[in-house]
Amino acid sequence: MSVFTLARHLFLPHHTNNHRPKVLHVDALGFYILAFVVFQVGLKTLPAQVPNVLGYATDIHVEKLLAAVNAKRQVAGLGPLSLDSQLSEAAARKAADMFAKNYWAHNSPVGATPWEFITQSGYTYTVAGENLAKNFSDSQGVVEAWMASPTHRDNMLKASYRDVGFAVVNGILNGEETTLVVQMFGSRAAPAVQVRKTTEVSPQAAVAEATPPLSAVTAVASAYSGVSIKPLIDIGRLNHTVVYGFIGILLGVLVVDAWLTSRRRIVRVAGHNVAHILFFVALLIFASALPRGSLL
Amino acid sequence: MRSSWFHLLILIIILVLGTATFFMVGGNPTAQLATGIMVSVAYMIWGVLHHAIDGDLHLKIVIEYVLVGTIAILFFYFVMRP
Repeated sequence: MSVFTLARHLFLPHHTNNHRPKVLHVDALGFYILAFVVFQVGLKTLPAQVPNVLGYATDIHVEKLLAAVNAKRQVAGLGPLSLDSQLSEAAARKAADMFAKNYWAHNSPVGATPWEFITQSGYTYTVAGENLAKNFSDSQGVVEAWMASPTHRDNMLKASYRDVGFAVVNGILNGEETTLVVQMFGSRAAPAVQVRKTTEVSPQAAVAEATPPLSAVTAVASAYSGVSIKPLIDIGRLNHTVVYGFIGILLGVLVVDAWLTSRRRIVRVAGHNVAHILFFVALLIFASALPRGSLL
Repeated sequence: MRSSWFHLLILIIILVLGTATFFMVGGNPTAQLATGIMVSVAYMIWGVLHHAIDGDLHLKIVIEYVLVGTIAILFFYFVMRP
């Protein structure tokens, strides 16, 4: 069988494939499902075996997060947040606790709240908040995702916050390599009066002012000031290429098949090509709206 | 032919509503996953009903819609990483 004959058999309606491209047959669709599951399971298990070869490319740093958050606050007409060493220490301890106890939540499995981490760091607050993110590839992506989420955006753009602390940590969470970003907000209490008023998930953005140097952050927090990972194969990009490539090829075959069957007036037992095309286009739109990471 | 266009209009409404919902719940991966699965299931049901009404429903067609919907559900399940 020549390459042309094989390609025609696979991608064009012809009597050899019962006038339906072979790649659209139900057995081919079943094969795609099996291959997709194997591929995705491989992507979840292989990075632990060969972390330098296969992994998620990550470049997230505290300085960039602070600058991006303050830029958002500036646009909203708010003042900038100051990087606070005690809040950064609280964020670092929270991140370490999440990896140690293997949880992805604002409250730990033993009931520890974000406010306890803040208090333990020595920061006395009147109002405080926490934003969490995991598995984003860059600093700007984290901030944009927070801005796209109403509750996280409310935190970032809350006028009452004055300080912010960050921790960016890489580790294993729920069996997967994970990059956590913990962002804690607060305003200090006046020395004489301490009122606890807690607010979950809140960020701020602010005017572009000089970012405090990282040297101001404590030793604990500075150990979590950024994560840069550059594996040989970036899973995020590989997944993106495979998913878009697969849907793109199917869409192309469906369009050509719809045109040829209409032109040749082919009658056959098969699904509605135009419906499939509309469905896959919707799937592409969904895919374009998916952030890489998760928020909490 | 007229019924076919009417059916497609219904499908477009389903997909547009699904897409709008998907964007509206942005930032909530669980809600987005649920929306994606519901749209996929709705598509399978639409396909079967469309061919049943048109009188050309066949087991092979049912399997085809179920497999296409399953591909979409797996996509949402694996790629979204909630």
